[in-house]
Amino acid sequence: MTFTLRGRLQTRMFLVVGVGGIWTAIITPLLPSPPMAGRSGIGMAQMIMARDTVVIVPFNKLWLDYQITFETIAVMLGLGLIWECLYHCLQQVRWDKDWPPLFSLLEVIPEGLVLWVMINALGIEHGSIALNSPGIPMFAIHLISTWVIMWIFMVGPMHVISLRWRFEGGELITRRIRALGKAF
Amino acid sequence: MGLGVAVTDDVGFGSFAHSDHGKRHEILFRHLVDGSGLTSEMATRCEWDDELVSQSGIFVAEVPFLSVGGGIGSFATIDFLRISGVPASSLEVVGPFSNPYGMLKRLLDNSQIPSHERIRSGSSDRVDNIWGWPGYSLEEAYREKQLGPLWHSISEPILSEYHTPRASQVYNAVDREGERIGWASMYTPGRVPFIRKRKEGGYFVVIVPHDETYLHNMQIRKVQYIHLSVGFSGIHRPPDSLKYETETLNNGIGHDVGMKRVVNVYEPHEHVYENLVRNSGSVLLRGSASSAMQVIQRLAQEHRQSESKFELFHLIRDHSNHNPQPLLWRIPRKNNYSYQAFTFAKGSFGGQIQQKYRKIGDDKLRAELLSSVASTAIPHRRLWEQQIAQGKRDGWYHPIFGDGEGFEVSDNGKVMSTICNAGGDSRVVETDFLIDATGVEANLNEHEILSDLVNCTGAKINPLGQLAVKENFEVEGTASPTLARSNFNGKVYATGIATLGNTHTIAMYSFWGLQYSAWKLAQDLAESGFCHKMTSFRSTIGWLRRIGNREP
Repeated sequence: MTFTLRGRLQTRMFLVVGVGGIWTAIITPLLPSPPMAGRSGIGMAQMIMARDTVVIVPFNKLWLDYQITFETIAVMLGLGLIWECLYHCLQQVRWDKDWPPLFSLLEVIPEGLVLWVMINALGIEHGSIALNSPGIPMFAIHLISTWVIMWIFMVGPMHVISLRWRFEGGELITRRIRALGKAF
Repeated sequence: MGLGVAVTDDVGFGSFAHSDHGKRHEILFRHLVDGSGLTSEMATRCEWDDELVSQSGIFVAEVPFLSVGGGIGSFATIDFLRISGVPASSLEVVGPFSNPYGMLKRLLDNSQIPSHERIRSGSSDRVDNIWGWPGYSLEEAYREKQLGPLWHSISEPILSEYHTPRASQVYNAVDREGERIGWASMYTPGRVPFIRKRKEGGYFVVIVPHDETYLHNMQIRKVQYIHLSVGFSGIHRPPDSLKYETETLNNGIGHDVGMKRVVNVYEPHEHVYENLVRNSGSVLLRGSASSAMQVIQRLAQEHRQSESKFELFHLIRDHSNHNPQPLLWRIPRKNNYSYQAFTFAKGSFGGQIQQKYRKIGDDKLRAELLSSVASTAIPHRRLWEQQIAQGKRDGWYHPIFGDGEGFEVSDNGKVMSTICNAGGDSRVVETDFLIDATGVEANLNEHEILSDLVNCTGAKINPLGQLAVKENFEVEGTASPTLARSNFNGKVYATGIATLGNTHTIAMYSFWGLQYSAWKLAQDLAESGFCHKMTSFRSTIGWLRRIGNREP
């Protein structure tokens, strides 16, 4: 992969929002959801106050799972943009100024660890950051499967849907933004 | 990625001497006027009109887009345009080889890369596939039912070497894609000595047969868009080799009849290997690019298979007293070899290096960056390292560090090469043969069509002496008519080595560079309505059709 910094940031955004988003929507119902107790303040049922009536929405576990997985990839995107800047600095050490696909695949290790700490700190996960936390299986399967799908998409179909991406260092829309700027 | 050939090598023999092109040009025109039907008025005018051409009686046909060269550069561009929706009937290709890889194969065969050997090109930089995916590695894994190539593509270049395709895989893939896009129906064998601006807009392209009968059967095409991709002009010969070619060899002095003692790696030189094996002689190899390594690989194989006791002296430029490079801009070096996987540093293929190159406003700095990322270097190959180590142990491989100071061929057929080391001491090495692995030449004046383009059509040249092209690869100064007032506004585009040193794209002589320029060119043509814009949708449909091996 021969990324420019702009290309890295755009690629990350596209992959996480597009590919990661769709994959998350598909995989979430299949993930090993942690026990509900102690997971959030809402509990087994969610109460919605509507005027003077209390409506009890029965069993809303899937909704909560979606909340967790999508909030997780949102944080992953935010942190990822910072990570990409770091990778760009590391890329300067390489003579070829490139980023081997293996590096892109292994990025999941440091990013996953920081992400796990971060989503606990932000209260998205209500467990401990310890490895025996009940949220770990769901987090790990979600993260790793999303990452692998994004990586496969990057080394393969990405070439097809955007020739610009292949030819301009991973950039998808730069020229268009510049052209729009000129138009106004 | 790279074509497996370097432009020049830095063994320190100075620059190539130019031949007298003007004289040759004049002779060409005289011959054309004499035997072809070209009127003397046509021969002297740089702009023709329809009446002038029709009076000559030469066969004229009209085609909207014509690509000159017929090699890999033409193929990349024609392929892109076909996928962008241009029918084959609107495209014509003129060149000497019916296969787009004809010249490439000749150069690779001569430089010891036969069909079963791997070329120095990346897996995803495949010239028969504008998307680069699936790459050569995935195809090889699929066809040969092996996981090795797949592992390469995941782990390269960290845990394994880069996956590079066999030459045969490249040729076969080009054949398949050529069949799909109807290459044969677009191809006209021949040579284009020059083009002329057409007064009414567009151009006239003159086509003559490629062989000796070119005085007859001249044809003319009325064309709106011309694409030039004529490749390297010839073999790079340092002054001493050139002198040998023009004087010693022609006069039959100092060599056995029929036996060339000094050869370039890109010209046929099988007799050197046959002679070394049969007579156990010695050879000096100049150059430390990958073409030199292919020679070592060939000799290592010969040594293993035969009992002969030939010796190889390998002249490698001594970098030990060169200024250290900046920490973050340092090509990996070991034992005076520089290591780089491909012809250009990878970031030149659309990445950061290309971005950096575009931002440079100064010609000198631009040329410096270009020469540093396209310098003489070899890819890491364990096989080569093993062969060199084995050669040293067995006593047939002798590295010599220094610069060549020229050679003489003695009356008894020995090549006496003077070599100067970093300390300034000279010595003479006597060998039976000298193989010059110092690259191929890209001299604009050596191409009749390009030099005529500059002299007669108004093409501008860039600081490196190649064609100056805009970002869309249109050759500057060649628009016809000059002011876009006609409904037949013509443009001349150029891609490949002839545009090296332009202000926006660095990796021009590479598969990637040829496809990149095809993409930019097609974008420009889409704006004028000649082809469709390559949107994500069209790209995906085009890719699916290719996977299904259906016509674009």
